[in-house]
Amino acid sequence: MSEWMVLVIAVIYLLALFFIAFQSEKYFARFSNNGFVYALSLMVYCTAWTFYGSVGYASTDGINFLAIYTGPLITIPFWWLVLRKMVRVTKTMRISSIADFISIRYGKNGRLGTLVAVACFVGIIPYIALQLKAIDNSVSIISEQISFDSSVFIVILLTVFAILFGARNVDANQRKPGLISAIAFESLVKLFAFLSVGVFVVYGLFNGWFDLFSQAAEKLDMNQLSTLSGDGDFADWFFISLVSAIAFLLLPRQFQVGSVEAGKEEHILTAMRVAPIYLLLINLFVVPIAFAGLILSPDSNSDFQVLSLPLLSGNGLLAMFVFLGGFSAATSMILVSTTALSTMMSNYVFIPLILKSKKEEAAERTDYHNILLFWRRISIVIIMLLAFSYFKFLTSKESLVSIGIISFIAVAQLAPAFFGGLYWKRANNKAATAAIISGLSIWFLFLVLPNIALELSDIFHNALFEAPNNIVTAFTEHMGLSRTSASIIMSLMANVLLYVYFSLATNQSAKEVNQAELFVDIYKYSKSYDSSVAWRGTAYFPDIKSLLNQFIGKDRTDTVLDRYARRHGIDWDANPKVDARVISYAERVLTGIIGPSSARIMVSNVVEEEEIGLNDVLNILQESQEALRLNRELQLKSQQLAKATEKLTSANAKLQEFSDLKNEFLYTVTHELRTPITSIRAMAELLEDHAEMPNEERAQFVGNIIYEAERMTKLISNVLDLEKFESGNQQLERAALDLKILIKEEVQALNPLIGNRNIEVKTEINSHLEPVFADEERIRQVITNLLSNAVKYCDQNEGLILITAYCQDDYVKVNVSNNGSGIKQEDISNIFDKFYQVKHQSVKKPTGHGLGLAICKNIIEMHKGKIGVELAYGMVRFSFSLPVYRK
Amino acid sequence: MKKKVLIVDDEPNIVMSLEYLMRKNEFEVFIARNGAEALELLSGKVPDLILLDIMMPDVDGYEICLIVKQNPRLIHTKVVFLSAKSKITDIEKGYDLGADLYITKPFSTRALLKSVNELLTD
Repeated sequence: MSEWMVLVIAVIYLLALFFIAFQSEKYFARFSNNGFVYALSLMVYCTAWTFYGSVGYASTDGINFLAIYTGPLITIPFWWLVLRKMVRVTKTMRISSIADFISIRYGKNGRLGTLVAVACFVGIIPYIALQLKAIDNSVSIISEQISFDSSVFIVILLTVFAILFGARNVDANQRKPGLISAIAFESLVKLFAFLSVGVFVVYGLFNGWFDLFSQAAEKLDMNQLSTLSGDGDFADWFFISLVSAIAFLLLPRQFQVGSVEAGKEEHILTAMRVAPIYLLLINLFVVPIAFAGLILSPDSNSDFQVLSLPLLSGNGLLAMFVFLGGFSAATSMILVSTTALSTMMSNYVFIPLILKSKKEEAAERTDYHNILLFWRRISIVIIMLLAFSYFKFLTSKESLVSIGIISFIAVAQLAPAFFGGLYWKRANNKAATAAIISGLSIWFLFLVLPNIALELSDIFHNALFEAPNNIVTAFTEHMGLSRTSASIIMSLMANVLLYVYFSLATNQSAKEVNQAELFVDIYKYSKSYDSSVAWRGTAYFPDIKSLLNQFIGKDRTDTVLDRYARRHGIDWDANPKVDARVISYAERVLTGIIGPSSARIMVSNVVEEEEIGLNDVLNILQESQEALRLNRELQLKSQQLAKATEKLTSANAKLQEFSDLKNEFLYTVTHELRTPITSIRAMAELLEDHAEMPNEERAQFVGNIIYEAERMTKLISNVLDLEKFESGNQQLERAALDLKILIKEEVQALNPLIGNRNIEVKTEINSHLEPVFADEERIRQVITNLLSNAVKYCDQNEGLILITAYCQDDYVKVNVSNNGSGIKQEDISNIFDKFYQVKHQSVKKPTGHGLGLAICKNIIEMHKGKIGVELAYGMVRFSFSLPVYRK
Repeated sequence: MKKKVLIVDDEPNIVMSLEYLMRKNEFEVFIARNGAEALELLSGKVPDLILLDIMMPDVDGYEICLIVKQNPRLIHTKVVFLSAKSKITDIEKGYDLGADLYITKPFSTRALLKSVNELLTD
């Protein structure tokens, strides 16, 4: 097979991949958005390093190769806690890369993002170079003759496809279902390829596991291969596991597929079940193949035994499949890594530079959409170019595995800032910066500088360049560790210590406090993120819209804004002025495209924004407290108003009642006047009409007329009296008054009224009765009234009237009882009302008009006394009491 | 044959005046000083006319009017209210109960006599 043939097959494979991507983008929901695809896409973790390098590692160091899987495997149970939180934060904050994540967490700090982007860039370029190397080596192994250097073509091919897959859309935050489907497909290809070669080796080249292992036991030094020998090996195993577990989540490509491209959080649960099985399967045949390689072709490059063994036995088709498996492992890593890195580089390195250098001009431009795509594509080209140069520079000294580990350790330096930021609110920007810089410095000193120096010493044949390598070697030997373990422990220790120290020793800015709160308590905020952002400023809708237009195009701008308007029930046309929530939303949309700090700068061009300091936050709090207070006062006022209204209503009702009473009183008075007038008029007419009337009858009629006239006079004077009392116009002429004498006089005056009726009158008056301070005429009126009532209402046949008077406390009490049955219990409460008797009395009144008792009540009350009536011992007892006279 | 008139009122001087007036005009006069007495008299006599006060202590004039008008035996008995109650609603109530005439107090004996004669010759 010629190299051309291999290249053609590679192109066909990539086109098929693109077809899959294109198809699944069309049927997005049906295919790529499920847990299984998510799980497979996470297996982009297994690169050409795994595919080819594991066997190489196993051939030299035995089962130590498993370390890069044991780390992720052991930590899978924690994914539901950690990975889910990462996904939630990423989705909520519209994060598009790990640089975004760390930058946004530490107060949307652009410089920190740039640092992370550069760290990833530096750490991953060799890793991509490693993939290129793997592809190049595999091409040369599978090709029968080597006629030209195919690596240039391969790099160009991969660059084109990387742009096609990763940088077609401008919104880096927009999910790329096509890419994910392609990656998932590649994960299946590499798994089946590796399983195929494994089965071929164990059952084709050997007669099963037993045969293979017994031959290996015979011919190989098993001690070296299958056990952990010595302390250093165990330390390696431990530390590599540690950084692998971190790398599985934080490598730019892993963050891309694990967090940015995640669909539903439930998919993580599927991944937690699928991932261990996948990792187990892909490692199942590593040791057998390594043994087989060592037995059958000990001289071949141990990194490529999976390819050499089928070729050796003349199975070209299997070799081609295996080549495609390795190719898929390498391409999937390259595609996702370049996508992730190009987003970071353009957002954190290129765009900020452009915006800073010509801010005025940039604000005027309207074709950001194209500029962004351009820079993202440029980033991919630069990454591929650098990786290619590195690959060309790379000598065959280093195995696939060691380069991979160096990348892992670089990325591990982000772990303290990343996980600290996710779980520790106190952690701040300065701490994160110090931690990452210190860790990376040690990583560079231990792992990069010595290698570069060694390469240079080879080129320039100068022993001086070997010095860094010798120093590091001496140091690690002194520690009793391998260089890998020593670099991991030193870099992470410095990293974590500085991180903790600076977090505790320095303070956060108000914005950082806000972000820390959001990240750490993301579950609390993720549903109400829009309203919880403390971001002030005002802007006009057309400005926001044209800003978004520039970056994401008109269609997507409309979609995005429509969705927001629908969700929040906003009518853009009705209210062109937008609030902080909308601004914040627009900023997050832009964050997904150009990164947070650039988004801030762009948004601040159209927003009259104010930074929020601690004072502002306090002011906002005070304002809301003030509003609360005002609200409370308002409530109080309206309550008072309601009370006042109530009072007014009842006062009005009372007035109405008074008015009704007055009308009724007038009606009753006129009614009472009609009766005597009727008699007078009738009799007067009869007298006039009947001249023949005998004198006796005439005298009776005239007498009656006079009687009725007196009755009228009395009624009128009573009404006038009452009016005087009630209006308060009646003046009392008060003096010391002896009730004893008064009562005796009035009892004497009863005799004519009683006449010949059988009424017994008894008086019991205390001889030491004290005088009262009263108006004699008025009190006499009261006593007369009560006595005449008693005469009227006492028993008609055996009348009894009892008058008693005595001192009680500071009052003189007078009781007038009669044995009549004229008053019922239910009358008692009303008996002092005006005209009460007119309506309810059952025995015809001899005289009076129902005003007497009302007048009595008025008089007694004017004297600050009390008047009442009760039924006791079969008698009706009226009583009044007046205050004793004091000088 | 003399026409029979029943006078129902609790004011002695009014009763006295009406009695004198009706006797002088050839009526046979019966007198009740309250509602109960009136009902008792009506159970035996069938007067041609009742001069009826309304406000009385026990049974009031409205009730008596209602009883008279519902009793077929008294179908030809005319009821004339003589009352101090002068509100329109009181007068309407009187006519609603079937009264033939409602005269408010104070009244003129001459006008009363004229109205009564007209009523009885109808």
